[in-house]
Amino acid sequence: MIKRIFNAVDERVKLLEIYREHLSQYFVPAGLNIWYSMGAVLIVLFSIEIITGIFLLIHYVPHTKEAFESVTHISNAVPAGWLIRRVHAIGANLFVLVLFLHMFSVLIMGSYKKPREIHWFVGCIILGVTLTTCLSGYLLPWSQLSYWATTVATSFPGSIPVIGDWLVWFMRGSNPVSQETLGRFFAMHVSLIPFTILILTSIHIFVMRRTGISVPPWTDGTKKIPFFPHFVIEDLKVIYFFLAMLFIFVFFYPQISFPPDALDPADPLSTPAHIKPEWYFLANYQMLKLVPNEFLGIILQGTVAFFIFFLPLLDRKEERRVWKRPIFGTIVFLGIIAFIILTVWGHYS
Amino acid sequence: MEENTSRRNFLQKLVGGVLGATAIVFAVPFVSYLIPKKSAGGANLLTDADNKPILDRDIKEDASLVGFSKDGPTIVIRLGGKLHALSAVCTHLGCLVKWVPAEGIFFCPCHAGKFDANGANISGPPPEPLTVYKIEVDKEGKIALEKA
Amino acid sequence: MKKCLRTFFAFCLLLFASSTTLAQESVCLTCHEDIAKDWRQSIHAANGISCNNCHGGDPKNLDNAMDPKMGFVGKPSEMEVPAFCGKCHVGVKENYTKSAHSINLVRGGPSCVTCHTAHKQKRAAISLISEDLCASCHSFERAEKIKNSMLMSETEITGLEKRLEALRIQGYDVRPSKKLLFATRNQFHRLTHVVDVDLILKETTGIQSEIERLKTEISGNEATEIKRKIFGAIFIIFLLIGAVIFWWYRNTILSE
Repeated sequence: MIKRIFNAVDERVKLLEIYREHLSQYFVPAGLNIWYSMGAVLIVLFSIEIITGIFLLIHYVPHTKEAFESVTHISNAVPAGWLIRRVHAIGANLFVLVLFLHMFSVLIMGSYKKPREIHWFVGCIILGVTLTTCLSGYLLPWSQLSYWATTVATSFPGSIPVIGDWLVWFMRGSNPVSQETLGRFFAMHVSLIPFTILILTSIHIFVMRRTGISVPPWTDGTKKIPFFPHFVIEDLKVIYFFLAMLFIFVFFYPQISFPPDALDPADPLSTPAHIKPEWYFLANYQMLKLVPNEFLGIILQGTVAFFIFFLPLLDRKEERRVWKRPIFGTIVFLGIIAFIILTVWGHYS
Repeated sequence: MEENTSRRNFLQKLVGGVLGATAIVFAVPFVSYLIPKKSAGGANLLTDADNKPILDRDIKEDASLVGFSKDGPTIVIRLGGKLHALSAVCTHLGCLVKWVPAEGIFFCPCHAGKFDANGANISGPPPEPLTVYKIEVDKEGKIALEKA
Repeated sequence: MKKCLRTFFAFCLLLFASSTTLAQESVCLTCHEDIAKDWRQSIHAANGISCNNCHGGDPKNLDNAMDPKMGFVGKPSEMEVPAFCGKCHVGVKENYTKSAHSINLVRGGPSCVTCHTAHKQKRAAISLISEDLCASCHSFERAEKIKNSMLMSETEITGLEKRLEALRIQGYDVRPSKKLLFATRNQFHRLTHVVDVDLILKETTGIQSEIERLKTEISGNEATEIKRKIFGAIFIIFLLIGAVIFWWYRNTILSE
């Protein structure tokens, strides 16, 4: 019966053709390792964030007087609310981590080089939008941590000459952080940004399919395997592993996303001790603390971002094996060590 | 070869099982999240629009007040010193009735239905009387309702 | 200039975001340095209670700091101490006034500051009932009996406080329970000021039932948390086994 319906539909819109072209007869190089599955993990995590986010929207109230209570209500009174909320918060953290891993493997394997420069540009924009999502989402529970981390994070543009003050005022909608800020961050977080990420990711995957997946630099790319089911199963294996990691934190160590300051409602008149941003911003934060002039620090970080973004235009050599690119390899290695050191330093300072 | 086919089938079923089980386990919390919790037991108190209990002393002689209870909009009147509580929902099409002290009746403005002080439908289209509640006033003056 | 101020402000927020309250200190502390040292260690200071809250006067202005027109009452005499502290600690004063300590105040008996000190008060704990404080006037025997009768409840309350905090860190809304526990603890500590063993024993029974109620609620939440963790562990193991199954399938059937 189902087969009859299926055949009737297929006769009209030729679904089997699509299946063959994009799944079973679509071949990818053999030798793709787990790093190649990071993209699939990101798609799954993104979907989880969207779905949990929609469910949280049912109960969340984006007003300073009710935001914290509504989140407490979700975590205590709504059935499975605690689970949905923890998955959303911790999933966001895992998303950024996997994003970093994904960019790292692309960097090392030189997959940003011709013909895949567009993937890299779009990917960098996705990174920026993701960090903005995290920043805006952080404010929504309106806890002490939310309020003060946002205050610190949005105060940086203030050191830019001439337009600095206005930029801060524009970002926050007011000075200091208030309902205006909550309103615009909320609108951005639940509508503008998810759509933007969806569009950017679609473009990213589209160009990836058009150019084909990059061949691992240590193979010659002659041997191929069908994407479905062979590589899909590989993807699923890595996805399940990362889901296991996610749920280990969700069930056994949720405090990682909810330090004590996240458990108190925001008090604009009292800054708690030891306010620091979430781990993915710690390196930037610590670096700005070290550089004596804040504006200089921002310029330096902007320069680094500039070089990262335009990397495919700066590194045009065809060689993709990292052991044959010693200068590049050294720079990347030092950069990552610096990032880790600054992050750990920022955590303990 | 035979062995390979049966092993292949077994593994395929296993993979399908894992994916199916994952889908179900994921679905359960989302579905239960959506099922609204019934409000816990405890007294069925008459409250105002802000969920604050309406107190006994707020209702003057011959006056009426419409409030909320677990059963919906409820109207309370004080006659001869005693409190009466009835459902405020007209049994005709659901508009809320008003108490008319001059005539001693509940009047529904939608189709001119009339009920007497005990809720009996005396005139107009309403087919049934209004539900009457038993009242218990606690020591703080809160009004607890129970279906008579 | 404004730009520099903003940079400075943001920089301060970064580097000095470790201040707790941004309140200004009372001017009294500039002269009364010894008392200032004591007060800073006290639970009053930790809760924002400063000199003027008890002694009156203007805390911001040296000229009016000790002005009776601004409510300054100066240092209370030994006999005035209970009423002085009792301005806020009303329940305790009520209990104290009924006690043998209060009756003996005229003969050099203890006032509030005898045990709690005038400016160095810490959070009240049962350790205040001690040989060096109590035995300075009479034998420790009676005080010890009171201490023993209260020790069990005190330990329970402290234990419950710890368990509530553990639940709070996991995201539970413990505010109603915390308030109830706080009220019960204060009711309990007030009792000590009556220094009458039989009365204390009687009241302790009532407090015990409150404690039992709280214990049931907290145990319930802890049991829920354990149940969740068990489900979580099962699901995580299932996911890992799933990954292994996918790996197995790929490596055997799909490797042709």
